[in-house]
Amino acid sequence: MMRLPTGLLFGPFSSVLLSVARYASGSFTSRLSSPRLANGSSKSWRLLKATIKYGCIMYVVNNYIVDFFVCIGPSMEPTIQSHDVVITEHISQRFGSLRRGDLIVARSPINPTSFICKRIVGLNGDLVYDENLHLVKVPRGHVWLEGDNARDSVDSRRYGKTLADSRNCYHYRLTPAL
Amino acid sequence: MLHAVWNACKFVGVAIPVSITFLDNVGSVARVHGSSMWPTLNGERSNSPDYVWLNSFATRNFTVERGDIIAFTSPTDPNRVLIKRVVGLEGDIVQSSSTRYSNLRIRQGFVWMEGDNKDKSMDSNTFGPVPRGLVLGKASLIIWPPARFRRLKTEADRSYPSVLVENGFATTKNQPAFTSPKISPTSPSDVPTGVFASDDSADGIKT
Repeated sequence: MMRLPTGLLFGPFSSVLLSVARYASGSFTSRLSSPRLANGSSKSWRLLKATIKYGCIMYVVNNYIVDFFVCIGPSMEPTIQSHDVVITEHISQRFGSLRRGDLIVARSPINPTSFICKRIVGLNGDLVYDENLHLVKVPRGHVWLEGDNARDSVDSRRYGKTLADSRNCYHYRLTPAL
Repeated sequence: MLHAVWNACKFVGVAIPVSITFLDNVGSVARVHGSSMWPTLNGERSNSPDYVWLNSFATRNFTVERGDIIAFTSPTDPNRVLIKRVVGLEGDIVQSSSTRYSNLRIRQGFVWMEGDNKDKSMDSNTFGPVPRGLVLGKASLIIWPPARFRRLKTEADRSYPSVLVENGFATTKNQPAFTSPKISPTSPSDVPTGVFASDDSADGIKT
């Protein structure tokens, strides 16, 4: 089950919006009409600097605090329908409070540039059943993920235990299908 | 007074995200502990460790090449960062120096890392293939001490004893017991269960 991070869309978009809003609000004082301001910097240069500033702030917010994802695929039904937008937060994971039963967004072990959304079924030390009904013990630093829709989910039962590194984050459902 | 404090807060509130964005996406400096990459890193047995420049931009989509020196989160302990060389890529067949893994085919999304100093290295020979999602950056330069300033080259042509089959062709050393024709590319359906294949027959080799 793949995921699209919409945070990337929100980030640059909001940064440009914020910088344009600041620019238009007149905080640059009355010398807006001249192409070069008194302190020598041009309008477009200041707009670029503001865009970089807000872009970096949005990057940090998206990757360390809050992010949005669009879930595609049936593997988490009925909890999450396809094309639901979910909001995720990174803060709980930094405090180490991952628990069995939590929904997380993680990087796919098969393709690290894409994301998966599953539920934590096994933590360090648990014994779980894999696809061939073999018992697997989850080692330290790993989690065992399964989708709620057991029939239609590629998850840890298929590709084994997944690593709980800092790129995982929690998520809660935000809106139903758009 | 309050105006100055507010200005300082605004500056810090911008400087921190910009620095974090830079460190995550462009690069950072890392200190190398241990002698697992001797003599490439920490080559002189002196007290001062090597400091390397980690290029995060080069690994921006978790792309690595054979022979790169890569810093990655340890698969056994998420709080530790290890630095090793990429020796095997997806589709390669490897054999660890210990008897733990033999004729293991590296699955999609994983790489095989080894330290240059095999005896003193905790690497894929110990914990198996490493997921590419753990890659943090590529060490491209040694920047300190100044006497050891150099570029770290990607040694793709070197032959690695662990790698039996590379890109579908058997490496000239360490001929495996079977004759290996060209291996067809990994298909999504060919995903064996479990990362650590203790049972060699579980890894099907497509001919």
